[in-house]
Parts: sequence; structure tokens; C-alpha cells
Amino acid sequence: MADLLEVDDVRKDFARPATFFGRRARPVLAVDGVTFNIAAGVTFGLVGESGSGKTTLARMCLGLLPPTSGAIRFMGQDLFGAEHQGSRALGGEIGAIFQDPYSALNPRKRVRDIVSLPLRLHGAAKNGQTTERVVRLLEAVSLTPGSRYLDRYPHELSGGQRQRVVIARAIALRPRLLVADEPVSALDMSIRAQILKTLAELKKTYNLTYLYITHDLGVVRSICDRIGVMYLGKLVEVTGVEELYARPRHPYTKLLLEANPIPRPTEARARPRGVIKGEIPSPSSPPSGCRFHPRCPVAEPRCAREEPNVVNVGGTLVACHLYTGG
Amino acid sequence: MTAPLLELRGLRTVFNLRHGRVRAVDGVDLVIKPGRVVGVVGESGCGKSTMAHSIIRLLPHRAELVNGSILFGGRDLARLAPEELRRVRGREIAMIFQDPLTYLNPTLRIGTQIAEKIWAHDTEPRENVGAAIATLLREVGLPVGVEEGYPHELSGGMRQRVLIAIALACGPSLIIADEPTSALDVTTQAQILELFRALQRSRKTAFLLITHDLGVAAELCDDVCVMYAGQIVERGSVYDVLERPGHPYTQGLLASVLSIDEFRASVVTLDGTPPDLTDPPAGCRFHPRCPHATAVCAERVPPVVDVGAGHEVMCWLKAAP
Repeated sequence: MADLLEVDDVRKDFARPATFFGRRARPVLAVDGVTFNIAAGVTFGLVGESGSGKTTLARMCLGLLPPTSGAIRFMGQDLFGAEHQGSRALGGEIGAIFQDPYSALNPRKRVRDIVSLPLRLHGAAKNGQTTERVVRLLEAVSLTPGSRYLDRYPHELSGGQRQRVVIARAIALRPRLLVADEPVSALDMSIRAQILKTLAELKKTYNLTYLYITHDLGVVRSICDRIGVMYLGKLVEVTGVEELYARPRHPYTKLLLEANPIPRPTEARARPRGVIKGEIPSPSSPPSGCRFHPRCPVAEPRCAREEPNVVNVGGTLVACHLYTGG
Repeated sequence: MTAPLLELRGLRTVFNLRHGRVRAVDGVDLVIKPGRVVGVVGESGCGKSTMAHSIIRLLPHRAELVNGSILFGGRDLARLAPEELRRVRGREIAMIFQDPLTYLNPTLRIGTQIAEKIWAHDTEPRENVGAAIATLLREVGLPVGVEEGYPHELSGGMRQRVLIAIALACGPSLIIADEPTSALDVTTQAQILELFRALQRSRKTAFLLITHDLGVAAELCDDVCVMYAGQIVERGSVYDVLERPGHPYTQGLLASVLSIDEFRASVVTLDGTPPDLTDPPAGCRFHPRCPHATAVCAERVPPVVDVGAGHEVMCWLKAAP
């Protein structure tokens, strides 16, 4: 069986307006030749820092933004083919959850209108059944009893409750794929754990597949099956979650894991400290060769000249000259 | 016993809002010894930032310091006249905030903004200010030439370094850092934490670190206080609090992080949300969310119990029967 989502050599440039004197500015290469697949039922985590291109990739997978080149296929069909114009044409088979539940909800609508909007847009609910379906959706995301929340406005809800409303709306049309872009990053720790638990439960109940975008390696570990690590528009490593933590292959992945603070002081102070020198370069003028080479502790002369190909090392896909031989 | 650098006694700060009085900080005692790094951890709304701002009395106009003393260098900052307070603020106690862009003037060169701090407190003769700025920039790991630039030309990590340079400019004995790395990427955060460690070693400055991130506290702090609903519910060495937590709230918070960090997302040990501080629960403020709550927890405020070596827990479970 084909994978649910196939991202095939996708590239996205953002043209920048010409300068005042008419000089053309170099385009920003937000995503540069990214390929990965997500099988049905898998939670795929896309990890990277600000500017790595992960959100641009998420927007393309949602059909909100056409790629400059390459293709994104959902259930074998091109998301941007002639017959489909974005996810709405796919009948709500892809749902979206964003980071900030404060801006994702219309402050002038009641919860019942917010959650029922996708049902009404797609004509998915028969008259008279809408309220009942909204109540069931709210209860599925642990807003119980659902009827108590129907007539509330977003400002009457806490951050965690708002994010639950966003999730209820995202699953209203029974999507197969949920694209979640930093869904818990704006929330407090205890609320974060509660929302992640809900997402894990929904996955089982509704047979969902997740594309989970985050900068937080801790969160990734708790909910993802497979992980892709992005750096400056490139996917540098793709592997299973246990493998990633046990044997990170790419030098960037290793440093990223070491930089992630852990709440156990004895262990935190005994382990090597991952301090990556310098800062992430501008995507409008990325470094030559391997994009990580100016910051890489094990870079060789070749890394500045040649771009590493993706190779398979014991099941892990990694783009690094350490593994390309020669 | 070293004398404390800073001592808070019964600190109480309220917000007078239209719908009532929010008791944001409600009777906090805290001691910071010279050169120590003390972390205050807790979730949004627990009062940790309000407490930090109360120390140097930088509070929004609706907030009011109603009670308690802030003993620092033989003075009570809570009773100091504004003019005297200005001499302490920035010079003896400096502050670093979460979002450096808000605290930097976009129209002034970086060098000028550091110089303003030195001029304001007159800690260097005028002719030495240029050299002092160069030294500070080197100390925080910024390249030569940054002083000529403007804040918008710098990355988030570099701006935070500028803010740290400004904080260090007058050689403070205490730096209050309010979520100093929360807006940064994890690799930049690691660089800034490394810088804090280096500064702490070389300058022996004491830090009061306010953070919601238990991982950051584990990396940096000597002592940790856990705040819940305006009160400190547990305190002790970083090892005691984070590896042998005694309060059910600390245990739940750690379990939330660990359930995210290393287990599958199926164990959740903290239900519900923090209380409304206009009308906090009677007795122990955590009792409505506590899995171990008994009748007494809802009625009487729990005692602070020393469970060993200065590890204090405010909980009825620890009280002798």
C-alpha cells in the first residue's frame, strides 16, 4: 500500500520584493529538496529550530501554500494537481492544529459555531444533528460535559481549553491526517502533558496519522514514531524515535539532543554539553556544500564543497559526509 | 554561615483589578546568599515574575506591594525612597528579561545603550567608558564592532547577550533573570546557559533565575523554590527538589515533564488548572488538584516542614501526626 502522505523533492522559494533602487533581492530558500513519506497510522515528527523551514513544509502539506517544485501526494493524489486546490477540495481529509489557540479562534463566535463550521462548510451534518455532533466532538477532546461549553466564547476558556476546541474543530470531519504545528508550545507544562495525552487518545479512537511539527525534542519523544530533523531547509536525518535517541547519526542531531535541557540535575551536569557555535545562517545565502559545515565540530574540507547525499545507515536516512564514504 | 545577600520576609503583592484583588504573591520568604544561583520555578500565573519585579519594585501601576520586607545590603528596599531605590536598581541588582527587543531602544546604537547604564550610575570615569564597553562585549561573547550596530541588526541570541552586558555593566552583586532563555531556540539557549555558568564562576554574582522550564533550572541552579498560587510550596537544593520532590505539586509537575520527556504520553499526574487568585482555595491552595488531599488540607494552611538539610515542603503529608 502506498503511504498516506508522500513529500517528493519539495522546494519552496519565497521571492523578496526588489529593493528601492530596483535591484532584485535573492529569494529565500525556505525548503530545499525535502523528501519523506508518512505511512498510515504513524506519528511523524518534524523537528528543527526557527528558520529551518518546518512550518513552511507544514503549510504545504496542508495545501495552504504551493511548492515551487516537487510534489506532495495525499493518498496517491497530488495535493496541487489540477483537480485539487488545497485541502478543502479533499473533503476535509487533512486537519490542522496551530500553535497559538488565542489567534486560531474567532473571538466573536461561540464554541458551537467554531466547531460546527467545518461541518456546515462541507454539508457534513444534517439539520438538527449538528449540536449533537459538536457535543460529541467536545467530549472526545475531554471538554465534558460538552453541552456546558457550547455557548461559551473563546475568552471564557483557558489556554488549554481553547487548544481543545481547536483540536475538536480539526477532527470534526474525521480527517485521516492531522498536521499539528507546535500545538503545545504556548501551554504550561502540566497542561501540555494533558493535551498530548488527548492527542494520543484521539489517534487510537479515530485511526489518525499525525504530522507533528515542533522544536521541542522532549515532546517528540513522547508522541512520535518517526522523526525527521530539519536544518536550514534540508532534512538531515530521518529515523525511528528510539533509534534517534539511542544513536543520533548527524552531528547536528547529536548537538541538538545534548542542548535539550533535562530536569534531572545529576544527569544534566554529568553529560557532555551540546553547545553549537555560531548561529543559524540566513536562508537567502545558505553555506555551500553541507549547510551545517560552518558550525559542525567534525567538518572536513569536503563538507564545504560537496553537498552530502542521503544515505541509509542501519535504517536511518542521513545526509552527512561522515557516512557517504570516499 | 554567610550573611544573606537578599532576604525576603512575608512578601505580599496584590493586583487591584476591577473584578477583585488578585493575591499574586502571598507571603513569600526567600534567602539568597552571595554567589548562589537560586531558581524559582512554577507555571504561568503562580506569581514568580511578580515576585521578581517586587524585589526591585518595578511593578505595573495596578500592582501594589502591601506587606513584607526586602532586606538587601542592610536596607529594606520595600521602604526605600524612590531616589535611593534608583541607585540600587541596575547598579547593585540588575535585571534580565525574556524579550530583549522590548528592553532595547531601537533607535540607539548598542554601544550607547551600554554607555547610558554606566553614565547613569557613574561607575566609570567618562574617558574609560569606551574601554569598559569593549571589555563587557568580550565578556558576553560578542564580536568587536557590535557596539556600532542597532538592535534590529542582531539575532535574538545576540540581543540577549547585549542585555546581559548591560546588566553586568555596573558590577551588580545580584542579577534577576526572568525567563532569560524562554524566547530562544534550544541551541541558542544552550549557549546562553553556558555564558551564565562562565559569568557565575568568574564574577561570583548571585542569580535569581525565574523559569517555567525545570530543565533550565536543573542545568543552572544551586537551590530551587517551587511556587504555586502565590506561595513557595517547596524549596531546597536543586538535587533534593528535582530528584526527591516532596510536595505533590512538584511531583506532578515533574511527572508532567517526564511523561513528555521519556515515557509515552499516557501518564498524566496533574489534572485541572491553577486556581483563581482573587479567591484562592482555603487551606492548602493545591488541595483541589492534589491526589493525596485529606479533610485537613481543605481547612487549614499546611505547615512548612523541614524534611532534611534545608529541604522544606509545605504540606500536611509531611507534618508529624
